[in-house]
Amino acid sequence: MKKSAVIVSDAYLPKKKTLATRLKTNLPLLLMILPGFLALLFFHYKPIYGLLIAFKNYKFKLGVFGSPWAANNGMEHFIRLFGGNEFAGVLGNTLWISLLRMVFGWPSPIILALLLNEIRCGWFKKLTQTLTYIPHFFSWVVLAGIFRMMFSSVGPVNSLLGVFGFEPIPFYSNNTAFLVLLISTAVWQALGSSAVVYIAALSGVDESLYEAAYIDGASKWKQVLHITLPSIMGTITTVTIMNLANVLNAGFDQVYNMYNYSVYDVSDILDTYSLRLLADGRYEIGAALSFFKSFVGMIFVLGSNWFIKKISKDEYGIL
Amino acid sequence: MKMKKVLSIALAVVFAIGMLAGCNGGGQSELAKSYVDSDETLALTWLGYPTLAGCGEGTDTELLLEEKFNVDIKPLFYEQENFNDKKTMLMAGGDVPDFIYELDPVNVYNDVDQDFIAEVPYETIEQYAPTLYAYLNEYAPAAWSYSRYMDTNWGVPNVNHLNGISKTNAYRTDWLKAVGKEAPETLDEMHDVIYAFVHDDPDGDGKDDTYGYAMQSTHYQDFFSEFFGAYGILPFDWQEVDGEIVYGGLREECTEVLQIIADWYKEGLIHPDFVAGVTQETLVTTSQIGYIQKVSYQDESLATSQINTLRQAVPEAGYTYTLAPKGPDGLRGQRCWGLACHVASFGKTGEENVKVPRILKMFEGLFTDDALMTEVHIGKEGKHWEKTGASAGMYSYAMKDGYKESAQQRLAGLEISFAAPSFFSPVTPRKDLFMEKMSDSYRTWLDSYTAEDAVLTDAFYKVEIIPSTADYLEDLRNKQMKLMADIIQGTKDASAYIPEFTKLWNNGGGDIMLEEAKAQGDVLNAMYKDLGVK
Repeated sequence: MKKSAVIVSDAYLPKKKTLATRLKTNLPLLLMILPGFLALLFFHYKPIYGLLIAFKNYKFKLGVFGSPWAANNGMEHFIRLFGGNEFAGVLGNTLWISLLRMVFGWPSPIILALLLNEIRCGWFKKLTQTLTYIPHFFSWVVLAGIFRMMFSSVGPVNSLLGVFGFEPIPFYSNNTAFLVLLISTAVWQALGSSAVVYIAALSGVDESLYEAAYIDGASKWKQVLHITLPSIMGTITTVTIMNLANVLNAGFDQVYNMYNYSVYDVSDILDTYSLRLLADGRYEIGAALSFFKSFVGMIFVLGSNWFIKKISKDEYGIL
Repeated sequence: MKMKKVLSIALAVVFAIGMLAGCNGGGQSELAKSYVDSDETLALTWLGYPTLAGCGEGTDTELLLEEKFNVDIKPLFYEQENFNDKKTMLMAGGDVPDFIYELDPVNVYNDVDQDFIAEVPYETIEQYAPTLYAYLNEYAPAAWSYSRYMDTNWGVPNVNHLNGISKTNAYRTDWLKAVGKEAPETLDEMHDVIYAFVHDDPDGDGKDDTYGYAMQSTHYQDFFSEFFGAYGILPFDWQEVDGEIVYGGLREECTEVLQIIADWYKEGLIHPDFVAGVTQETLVTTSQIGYIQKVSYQDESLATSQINTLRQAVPEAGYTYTLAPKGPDGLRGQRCWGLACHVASFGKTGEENVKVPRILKMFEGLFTDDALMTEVHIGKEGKHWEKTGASAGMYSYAMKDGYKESAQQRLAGLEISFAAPSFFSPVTPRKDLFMEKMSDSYRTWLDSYTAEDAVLTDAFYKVEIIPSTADYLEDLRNKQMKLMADIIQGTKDASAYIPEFTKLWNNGGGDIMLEEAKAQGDVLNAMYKDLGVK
């Protein structure tokens, strides 16, 4: 049987707009995005060429492009960095502190947001939210001083332990105790500010879902497990992926202000190491270190995004 | 024949004159010859010692120097904090000042590597600042090592007279009286006094609320420095022992010193939070400790002096000054930085050949003209200051109303100390001028409570002089302090120190640094030869 030819006309379709027309139509939107776009271009993309410093013997007078390439096909500074005595230890400390911060810092704001979401007393909810948010505004210079006073051998925390018959804990000279202090204070400081994004996500959950679940006899726990968490899973995965970009940032401000030579073995991180290099004017090795950190961060973001997309069957992910 | 003889004599005379000329100008290097002074007014961008942050252009001091030396100074007043970062950013942007103040030898090295500063031969400095050159060669020749890099000179070093003077300790007079003790002279006697300060309720309040020993700062130079000093050791510096350069922390005697400190710690005589960074700063003024590791002359006429701050809490408090305690062999001392201070360098601007000679002439003028040096530091007599009785306060002069506070002095471009360089005078006043400006009571205090045998300095003044220290030393030093702290707190035995630290040293680049430190002796000898110093 012979197939008849079908003639399709596009006469009924809307007329295709020219670029000029589309630009004109969307001009207000384009103008709104322009400042942000320019900021992104100048402050995030333009400086990327500075990474070349890591491959050069950088001379200010010659500029980034004019400076001569480093030895070993430009890899000299990476060889010195990775071959340095301190690098392996410093990298290990950074990863360990980062891991601990993630393990304890990742669920805490989610739990706080879930708890706040269950509070029905408005003023108490706001008060709690404000109190947990306040530490975010204190600099680590101030906080480190306060913690040093509180957790010293003769400070109030150890005095209180003494009252209950416990031995004082050397928070600033025992590696384990210092790490506990470091991680717990880091989680405490970021708790309120990190929870904000989850609280915002929770406010968007459809109330009728809870009402339906309640009528069906679901307990609070079941509601959290089957309504709340799935509703904010997109936010959780996005925040998690973004946090993984900072896997080699173990919190320079905090560590630098809190550590001392006695806990140096466990608290000397890539950023404090980098500071030592920069203080000696070795910008190239500092740049090489930054390059390495960014590269590892990117691998983690892409890897975790791929993994999450795979297990969620493309439901979650950022790219 | 006669004509030939006359011609020969004439040729010989010409030759001789030529030879003599060769000895003078002809001996100069091409670089030295390129430095020539001129009569014109020179504009000088002046990045001085960052002590006058907030000061503005056009102070009396600046105008005085401009008029005296026919220059137009454009001062750059930076804060000391982040000075090096800001300085680098300035020069990286293409604005290289004519005069550049360098706080550390490592800054000189960086600026040389970046081609920011100009080489200045010794002969040029001798030519335009002969008195200063001779004085430095006589008074602190090793200071020249701060401006030397790659066997070349890159500036003029200066000195700090106070850094060459030994440190003084103090005990609370009222506490000594309360526990019935005298100020100690030896480490053993010091132990007894500190023990009584901790256990015998020296403040008489019936509470167990006093502590024994605390350090002045968390800096390595203060780390139990009197204990190590009593054995002649600088545990974090290079020392010359029996004609050989060694790292102080590897000396066998360290074990004995650490054992003593550990015993003190066990007895509760060391502040339990010394590791956490608790220093004597607030413990002194809140009357929690009665021993002060380092104390400067206390000007009782100043409300802000440490003793007067303490007296707000304890009116009867007083200080009994002592030198560092002696060890079993009569050795004593604490770490001093040594006379060498900073470096005055010159920007490689393309105009340095005329500007360097003028700046050197300014240095010479300041150094030789006491009236000028005085006016640059403290202003005009009658307007900014007046003479006082020789025994009043710390100085033999007093600033007048409107210039008494340090902030007021800073805004006027004045700096009242003659012991160190200043923003407008990178050249430190001579020691005799410095002493002349101090009061009788200060000089008496200095004579009584400082001593040459208590001055312990690094063999090269600063450990960073050894290039490879940038790669290894800070990490090693932190691990060394950690090991020492573990021993002091009793988690490790003192006998473990040398074997463990030797292992850390060998694995942490110590042998490389030691090799360079030993070679530094040759570097210094070559420098002294170039300087003409024996």
